[in-house]
Amino acid sequence: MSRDLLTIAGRDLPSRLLVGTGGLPSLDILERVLKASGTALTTVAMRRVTTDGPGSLLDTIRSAGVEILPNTAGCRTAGEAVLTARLAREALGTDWVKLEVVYDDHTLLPDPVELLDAARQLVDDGFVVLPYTNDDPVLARRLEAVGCAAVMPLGSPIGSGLGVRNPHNIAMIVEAANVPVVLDAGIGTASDAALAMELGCDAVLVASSVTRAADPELMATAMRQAVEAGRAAHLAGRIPRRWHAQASSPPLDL
Amino acid sequence: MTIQLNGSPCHLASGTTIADAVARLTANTDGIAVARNGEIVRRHDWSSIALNDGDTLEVVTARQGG
Repeated sequence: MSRDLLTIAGRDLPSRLLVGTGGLPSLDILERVLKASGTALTTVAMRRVTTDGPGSLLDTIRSAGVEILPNTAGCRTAGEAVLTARLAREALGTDWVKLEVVYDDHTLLPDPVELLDAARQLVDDGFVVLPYTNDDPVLARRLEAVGCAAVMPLGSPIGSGLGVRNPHNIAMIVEAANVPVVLDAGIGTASDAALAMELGCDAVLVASSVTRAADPELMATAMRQAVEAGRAAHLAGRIPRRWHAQASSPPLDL
Repeated sequence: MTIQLNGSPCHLASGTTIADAVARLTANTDGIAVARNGEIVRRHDWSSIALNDGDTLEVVTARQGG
């Protein structure tokens, strides 16, 4: 498995792990997390300027050699998300966007109606749209049909750490998709990321599970290894599940 | 005149440009974008566009986020 690259919108990415930057106490730790994770793509949010020094976060990410993926976190409507994506494009010089349109703060679940509307508008405006979506196989196909460059279904609610609650739906999304599937949200620990990859996801995005771990740098390493292991296991082809035992040693012949 | 600058009222002399208003918030404009009344204003236009009374100006940048 020498060059098993993730390709999104024609761009080859050397890592199948995407990392969110939210929740880390310092830029020094962020830099160490990015390096340990091996990620090639990291998310940032767009917020009002409040004080001097907005460049330091960007400097940290750039010096780590990682590409920036702005998100539209906090947006509730298609209109808000489209404006936020356009602000991000102007501010950061990228037409890639992780599209988030959530329904409420309690669940942070995607609003499928607003999400699809925003995705359509942004694709038409030339964006490479990576939508954070529900684990809904039909919505994933709808998002692909309007031109999204990937689909990013949740494993479980953002920050919940509940892992992949509906592996069957994730597998159905993977089965139908002609664009990369990135498991986004809900990862709690390394085995969750490995499971997502074993199900056939092309990549995993982690944020809280790393940034709020007791040792973020070590968890970033664990996630990198889990994604690599899960990918390898997926490609290797697991054995079928059996109800009864099947000996791996030859039959007894003394 | 009074504009809404990042959600707060801000009193400015008439003729104040977008570049002037941004400078009130930050000296470092790397990674910053501006929307005036809900429309993006390209960076190269900041110094040539004067604000009007009642304008809403949003000045945003990247922050840590998932």
